[in-house]
Amino acid sequence: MEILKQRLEATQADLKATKEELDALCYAISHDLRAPLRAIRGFGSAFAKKYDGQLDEVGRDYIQRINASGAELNGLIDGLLTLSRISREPMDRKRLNFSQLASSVTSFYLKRSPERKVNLLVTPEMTLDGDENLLRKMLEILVDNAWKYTAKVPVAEIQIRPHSDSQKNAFTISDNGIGFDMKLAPKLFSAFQRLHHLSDFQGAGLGLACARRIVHRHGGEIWGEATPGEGASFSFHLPTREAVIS
Amino acid sequence: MMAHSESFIFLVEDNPNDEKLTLLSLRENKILNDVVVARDGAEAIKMLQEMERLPQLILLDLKLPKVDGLEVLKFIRSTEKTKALPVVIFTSSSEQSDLFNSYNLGVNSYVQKPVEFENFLQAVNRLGIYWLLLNRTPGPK
Repeated sequence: MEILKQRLEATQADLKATKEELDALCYAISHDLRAPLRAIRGFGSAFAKKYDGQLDEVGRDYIQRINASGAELNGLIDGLLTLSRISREPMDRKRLNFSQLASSVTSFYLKRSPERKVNLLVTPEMTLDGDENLLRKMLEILVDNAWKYTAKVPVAEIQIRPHSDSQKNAFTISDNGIGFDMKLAPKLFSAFQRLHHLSDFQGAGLGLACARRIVHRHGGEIWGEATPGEGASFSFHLPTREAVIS
Repeated sequence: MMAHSESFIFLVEDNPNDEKLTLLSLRENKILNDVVVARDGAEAIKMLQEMERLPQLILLDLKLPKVDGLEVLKFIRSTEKTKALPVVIFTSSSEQSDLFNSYNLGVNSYVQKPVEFENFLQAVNRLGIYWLLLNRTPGPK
């Protein structure tokens, strides 16, 4: 018994040390990587501005590429930091009104892009147990994806509803957008994977990795299904609070 | 557009690129006030102690060699001569701990240095307009 207690304490100390190292790493990333990146973009832009008259088409193109790469790198840094923050943040599990959360997140997108034609369906009175901040973040990622990949559809249909299999505590976010090839499904949630051509859709490819991290932290599962050209649906299942406590 | 010609900005910044970008952004935005620069925390404290005329605004980076930004802030807020000076933390960091500690120590404002240059220019412009033109501070005692 004593040996078990010692082992547990050692493991806890180890975990604490790892967490502190992770915090320090994130801090270093956010500070130390951003500064040179800022210099690259700043002096690139300042250069372009100052010598604009003397730059030809080719020169302007080169500067544009430098800036674009800088933007991409910045997005990656932000994505990595978000991913790390998700792993580190303490969780506060509560019974949540998932419909309300979903409506709140989607209304933000509707307000931000009033020119988009979107049919939005959020099933009322859906509840689940989880950390509100993390689940809001997860919803933002999934809705953002649905929003993004329906950009070329004349009327987007986005639904947030209980999963059709009536699995307890399982929900689906579906859209009628560009979808993806199911052969690529295993890569869906890997960090940095992108299933579409870079120029078609912006995004660092880290969103789904973050969504999965959030679901896993809750002890749940997330999966995606799609038909190319017809749409995609992302479903997740979370254990109930009773299941977690037991 | 210029604030009162005698008012100057005290920039505490160790990174020479960030210093240059800040200075050229101020110029680009036609904010032509003098800028006095300290390149580490110890130098910043020493200069503040020796200054006769005080700055209209202190732009303070957090990660500094010798003495870090939060220590400089602590010094500013605990020294009679400097405690009422407007301090804007201007840093790469978006960490909650930095935000929390900064406001706890009495910073007036906390701005994350934008990576994209257009946004950087805009941030410096807004800071300049607000702190040098709009914001009022008590005159010298």
